Amino acid sequence: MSTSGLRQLFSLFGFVPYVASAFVIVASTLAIMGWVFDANVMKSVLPGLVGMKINTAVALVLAALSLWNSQPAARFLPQILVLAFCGVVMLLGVLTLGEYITGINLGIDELLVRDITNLPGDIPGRMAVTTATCFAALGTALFMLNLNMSRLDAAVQGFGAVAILLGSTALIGYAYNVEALLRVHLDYTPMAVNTALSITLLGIGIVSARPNYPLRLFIESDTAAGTVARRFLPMAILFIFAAGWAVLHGQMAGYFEETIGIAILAAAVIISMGVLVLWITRLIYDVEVERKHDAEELHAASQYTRSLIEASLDPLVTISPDGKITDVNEATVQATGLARDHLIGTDFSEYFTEPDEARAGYKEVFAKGFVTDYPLSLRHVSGKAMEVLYNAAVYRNQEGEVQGVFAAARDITERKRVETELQAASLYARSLIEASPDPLVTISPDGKITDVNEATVQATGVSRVHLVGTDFSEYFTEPEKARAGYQQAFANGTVKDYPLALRHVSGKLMEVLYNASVYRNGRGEVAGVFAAARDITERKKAENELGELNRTLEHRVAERTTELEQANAKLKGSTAFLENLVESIPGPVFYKDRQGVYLGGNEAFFSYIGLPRERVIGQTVYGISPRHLADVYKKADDELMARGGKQVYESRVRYADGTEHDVIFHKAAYPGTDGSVGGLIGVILDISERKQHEQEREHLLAEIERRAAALDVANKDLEGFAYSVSHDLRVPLRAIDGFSHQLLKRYAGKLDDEGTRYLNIVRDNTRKMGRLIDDILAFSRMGRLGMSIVEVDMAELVNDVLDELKPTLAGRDVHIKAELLPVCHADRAMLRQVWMNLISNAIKFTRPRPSAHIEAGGGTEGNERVYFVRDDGVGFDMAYADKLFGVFQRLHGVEEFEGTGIGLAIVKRVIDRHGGRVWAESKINGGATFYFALPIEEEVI
Amino acid sequence: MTTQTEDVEILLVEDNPTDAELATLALREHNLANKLVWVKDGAEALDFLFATGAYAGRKVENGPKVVLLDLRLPKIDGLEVLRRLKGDARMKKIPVVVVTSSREDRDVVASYDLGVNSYISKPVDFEEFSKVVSELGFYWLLINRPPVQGQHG
Repeated sequence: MSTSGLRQLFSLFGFVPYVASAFVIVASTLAIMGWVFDANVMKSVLPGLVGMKINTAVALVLAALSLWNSQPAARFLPQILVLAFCGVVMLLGVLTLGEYITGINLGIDELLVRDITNLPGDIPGRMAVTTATCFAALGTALFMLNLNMSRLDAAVQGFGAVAILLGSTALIGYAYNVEALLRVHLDYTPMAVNTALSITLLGIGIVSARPNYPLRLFIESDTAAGTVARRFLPMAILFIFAAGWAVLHGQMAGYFEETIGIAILAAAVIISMGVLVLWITRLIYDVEVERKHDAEELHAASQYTRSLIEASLDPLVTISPDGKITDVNEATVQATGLARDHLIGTDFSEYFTEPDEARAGYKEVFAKGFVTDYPLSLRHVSGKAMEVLYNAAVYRNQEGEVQGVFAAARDITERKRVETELQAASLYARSLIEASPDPLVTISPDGKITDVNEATVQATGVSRVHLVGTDFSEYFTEPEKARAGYQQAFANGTVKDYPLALRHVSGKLMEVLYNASVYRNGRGEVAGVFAAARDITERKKAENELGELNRTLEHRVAERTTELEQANAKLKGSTAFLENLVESIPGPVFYKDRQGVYLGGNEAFFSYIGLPRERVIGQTVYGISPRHLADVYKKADDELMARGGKQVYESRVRYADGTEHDVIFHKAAYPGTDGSVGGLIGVILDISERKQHEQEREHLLAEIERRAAALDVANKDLEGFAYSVSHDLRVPLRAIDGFSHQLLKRYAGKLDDEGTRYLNIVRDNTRKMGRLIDDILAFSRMGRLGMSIVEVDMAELVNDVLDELKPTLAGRDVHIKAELLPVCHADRAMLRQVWMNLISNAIKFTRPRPSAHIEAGGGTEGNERVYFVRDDGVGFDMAYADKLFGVFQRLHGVEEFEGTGIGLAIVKRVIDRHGGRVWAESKINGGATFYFALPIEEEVI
Repeated sequence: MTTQTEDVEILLVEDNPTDAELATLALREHNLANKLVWVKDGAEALDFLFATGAYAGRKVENGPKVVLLDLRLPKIDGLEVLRRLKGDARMKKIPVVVVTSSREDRDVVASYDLGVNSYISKPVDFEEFSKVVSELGFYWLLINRPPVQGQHG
């Protein structure tokens, strides 16, 4: 069995009191039943042995119940009842002992059951004297045990040991068969075997009733002592019991004598004990060596930790719950300037400038278990203070109980100093910024203002809190330009002398030049733009003023020069010249001073108004004109004097003869000696005649319009007439022709030759009249139809006409040539009619020739396109050339050449409408050439 | 001239009786006047064509095969008659020949704009007139044969 297995077994030692109680109750109950049913075996276990007395059995039951109930986990009877049981057990033991000592029978022995005993020395019902002693001891022990008083622990175990001693002695006696021997010599009742076992067990139960009782403590313990107890105790009991038994039985069997037996026993005990001791010693040795090794390791670890602690630059201390320093490291010694011995045992708090704060600190640690970054000021013995941050935590022993506080201080004096310096530097920079008269701002990458100085607040009239976070650009007259400015700064790193106009909240503008550059954060990234504005309003103003001053000066110089020149001119030009000039003007001329007083005029003026010169000079207009006209003149004069320059207006003037005339006043202001308006000079233009002409012209124009309208109406009438003619005149003609035809056809047999001839004459004339009407209509149409001017391909047009005329050439020998026909701009349909008429005329008038030649051609001459049709026909007498193009003008007889006399009239009309001209050249029998010319300009519309 | 209203081949719309008679004579010379109906104004022409008014008993399907139309007509003028005919799904296939004294361009243009099939101006010369009228009448009568007969041929 391994060490741990054995220990596990013995960890059940807590059940020993229960096991003992249970066994005793069973054994005693059996004995009581043996008494009740008179069964001896149940009392004595083995026949022939002493049985357990009834009193003993009852006392054992009570004692067992008391032991059971003594276990806190198994308490089921009231304490007072248990104490009473114990009292009964103790009393029974004491009274029975009293009976033995005094020899007086108190009658308690057979109180319950009558006993009949046949063994020698037995007193009926009375228990053995050792049993009575044991009950006295057990009762006392159990009574005290159930009182639960720790100071009675020793007594409880002492009385328990007495019971074990007496009970086990009886048991060993039975085992070695001593009881039977003894009884022969003794004359008192011995302890029954079951009683002995019960008493021994109750004794063992009592000495292991509490966990802190040595037997149980040792056996259950994890220590070397526990190991010894667990191994040595059972072995010692077992060996000695076995050795004793063997020696005794060997002696009784006669193997050896009593003295030798004792020697053997002694030797056996010595050897077994020696072996046991060596075995145990070895165990203890191993445990001890291991423990020593552990201790060394622990010490080494402790040393390591210690050196770490000592090596720490931070002052470290441990503090006891009452605030005393229990340990310190070298850093603490340095920080305080006090020796370690001096520090340990003193109050932790007294080394700080604020002891109360320090005390509150470690109290907080004990309460919370830790503190972090607790600021304190550690005081050196020299008086110098060290700013520290304390981090502290409680530390505990193995049982988890708080032993104290471990506190570590971090010196932040340097950090604080740097911070303070940094803050000072920042404040210095800040005050520089604030002191700057230039508006300074910082701008974030998204264009928001992140900071401003006082000058910016002054410049914008907006408070700092309202500026920060708003768009930088919105404080300028040109936000787009402002935005472009800072974007340029972000892009290029800087901008220089960027001109902007900063707008104060009052609307006042400040011309500024911005210089800006980016600034970076600790990681070198661009964090924003720092922009400084320089107010150049004053500078600009000064520049403007200077410019203005210069211009004024120049202007004045120019003015002065002009004045001088004028003065010179005045001096040069004689007064006589001017007077002559004025006099020589045929219209009236006058001049006045600034106040409107007449200074002079020419003779035309004075005769015009019918007043002598001396009557006028020195007067205002009110002195010479009726009031209603004078008001008009005065108003006009005042206006001219006020603004200078010239003035022209229409008005009326009364002549000396009393008639009023329409006039135009031309007036001009002239400068006086001081440069301002000195007066005016005026010329009067009589427009009465012109007005009359205008009226006459208007009258004439109206007359022309009226006549044009009448003409238009007449034209419309004519058009309607022509249209009617085209229909209505032809209807009867058609009837005449149609029915003449029917007559000729149906009544041919009834008409003689002369009749037929007459009818044919009728028909012939009818057809002629039809053609005449058609031609007149065509002529009229050419005059009134609207023209649509297009580019006309003359060659194509002429060929078209020739195709159409081809039937008229049947049976004739005519050579027609058409070439060099340039394009022109004209009305195509009208020109077609022109070519048609001219070419058909050529065909007609070459008819007498056996072989005719006709040529159509053209070309450009100056600004005209000139076209012609030439034939080698009969020609005409040039004497009548002017009549060629008249309506119904014929140069040949109808019998000779048919025709209406309208063809050439149509040609002339068309060409006239195109703004061109027509003419002809011919000789009698020498052929004829007809020309027409069209202007090239496209405005022939 | 005929007054029958069945199987009319030519409808002559002419207000002038002399012209109407001459036209009839011209057609008759070429044997085209057998199935001719003469109406004197535009209103009567439309009544006949659409089988309304005095011609309500007539069947529209019975012709005419061609219309000879004067433009200057009492009541409803020729251009209006032409517009009504060419605007009607049943009638617009009937060929219309405008036969008029007018040689005005505006009348010619208006007629062709309305979908006329031919335009002739009446010459004073009867022989010329007779020739043109009969040629046109013949041409359109031939053209306007029902399609079914054409398939059997």
